[in-house]
Amino acid sequence: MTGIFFKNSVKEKEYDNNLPEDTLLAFRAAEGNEEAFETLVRKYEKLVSSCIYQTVSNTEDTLDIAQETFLKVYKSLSTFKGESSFSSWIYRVAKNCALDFLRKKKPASMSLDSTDEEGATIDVPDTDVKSNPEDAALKSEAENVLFKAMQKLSDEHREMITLRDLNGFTYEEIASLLGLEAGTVKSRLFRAREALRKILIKENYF
Amino acid sequence: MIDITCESIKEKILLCEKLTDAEKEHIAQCEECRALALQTEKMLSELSEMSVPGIENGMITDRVMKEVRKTKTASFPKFKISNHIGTVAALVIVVALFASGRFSDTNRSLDIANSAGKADTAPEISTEFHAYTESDNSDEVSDEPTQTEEKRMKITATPGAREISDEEAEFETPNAVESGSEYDSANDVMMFSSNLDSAQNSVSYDADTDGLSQKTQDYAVNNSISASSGGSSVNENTQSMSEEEIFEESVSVESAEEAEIVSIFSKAAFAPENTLEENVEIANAYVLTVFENANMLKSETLKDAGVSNEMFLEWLTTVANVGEYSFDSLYSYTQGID
Repeated sequence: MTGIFFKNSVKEKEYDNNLPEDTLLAFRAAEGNEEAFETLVRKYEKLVSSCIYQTVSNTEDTLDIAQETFLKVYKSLSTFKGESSFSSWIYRVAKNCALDFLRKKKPASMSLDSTDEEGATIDVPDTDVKSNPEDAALKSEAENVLFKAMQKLSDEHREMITLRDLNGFTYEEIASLLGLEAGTVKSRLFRAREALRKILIKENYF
Repeated sequence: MIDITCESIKEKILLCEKLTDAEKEHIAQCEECRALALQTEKMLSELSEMSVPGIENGMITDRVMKEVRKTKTASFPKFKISNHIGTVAALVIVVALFASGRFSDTNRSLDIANSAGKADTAPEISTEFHAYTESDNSDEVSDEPTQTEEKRMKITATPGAREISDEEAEFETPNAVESGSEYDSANDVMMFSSNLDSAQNSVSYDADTDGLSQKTQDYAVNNSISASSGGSSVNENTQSMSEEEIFEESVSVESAEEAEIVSIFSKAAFAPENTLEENVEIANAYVLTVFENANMLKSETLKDAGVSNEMFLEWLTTVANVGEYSFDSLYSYTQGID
């Protein structure tokens, strides 16, 4: 009898091969396939961590929030139906986790400097080297300048740079991720890079 | 003219688009455009290599997977044979018991139809139970209690059937199939459930549900089959065990206990305050994670069969592998049939 059970347990569900690779992996992970989930985590850890870091600007917090993001995704895998792309799903989860963290951590430090999607105002995190000595010791001076410059960008532009230049997403992927037209992504990216370049010139980066 | 060209080239440079030969020539001559190209190249190259400071590649994956495995282990322990020496020992004992014919009696089904031709088959239970009688099939009524009263099941048939008392009756459960051939467990559960349903009218269980904290052998299962047929009554004591056999049985059960059976559900999140439905759901969910086509128990059926939440939880502590997670196994346990 046990033999029959084992035979059945090995059998995996068959999915449409035309489904995106990430969606298939997510479905397999939802069935309890640990390897599939690990592949997804490995693939998206940079996206998740950079997205979170751009919001919280602290390595330790980024690690914790990234872990929380992936565990949240893991627990909710059964709810993922593949209607939207996995990348946009995980990106939204990461972003929400980071914003939740900021809300919980600094409820009194809201300012009008920037506004998140839901209308609540959030503080642009202080990325001054003095406030993050551990981080400063780890990153090169050039990277440090770059990070600081990025913090001076608007949320919209920083998001573009993060997705395209840090994570290598295509225009189409970014468009699907943010619910924009590919043309809008292109023009926004152009303005973002130009803005960053101008900041870097002021910082004597070049 | 030159401004327009510079502006159009600027967009192409910043978006890393392919330049024409003329545009390349322009860049070579225009200092502003050349600077822009160099700055953009450096900036984008630096950005592509940039990672979150202090977070190495794979660091998050390791943390997450460690946590996932920890969570998984806590709620759904992997069954490793090396971690279940007690279970293995218990299985060896069970095999040994089978080999020694310990179960030969209990595996026999009751067959009301006897060889003497007095086959007054009890209505409604004839397909489920087979009274096991000797060929002489005497009609004497014995008033003296017998040893088998320790395991009695009182089965009251509908009027019109003859009465058989002190009979060691037993369900013909899938596990009791002597051929040992493999069978469809799902069908067995259904069949067994229907057996119970049909037996519901004619079977009353005397098992003391409050006493289920006792071990299996303590259950008193009254196996007296009451049936009447034209006033004839049969009282057989054909399956009674000698004191020696009973002693051997109790020793075997004690040995099994000493082997410390470890339930596969030992780490599952059962809570005594949960309802039977909730606990059944937890157990089913666990079984599903291991086996796709596992037996799924239904709390309604369990309740109909007189299985309480306490009985269910206690039985779970004895389930050493998922193959044992079946209705018949639970029923056998609660009725003290092993």
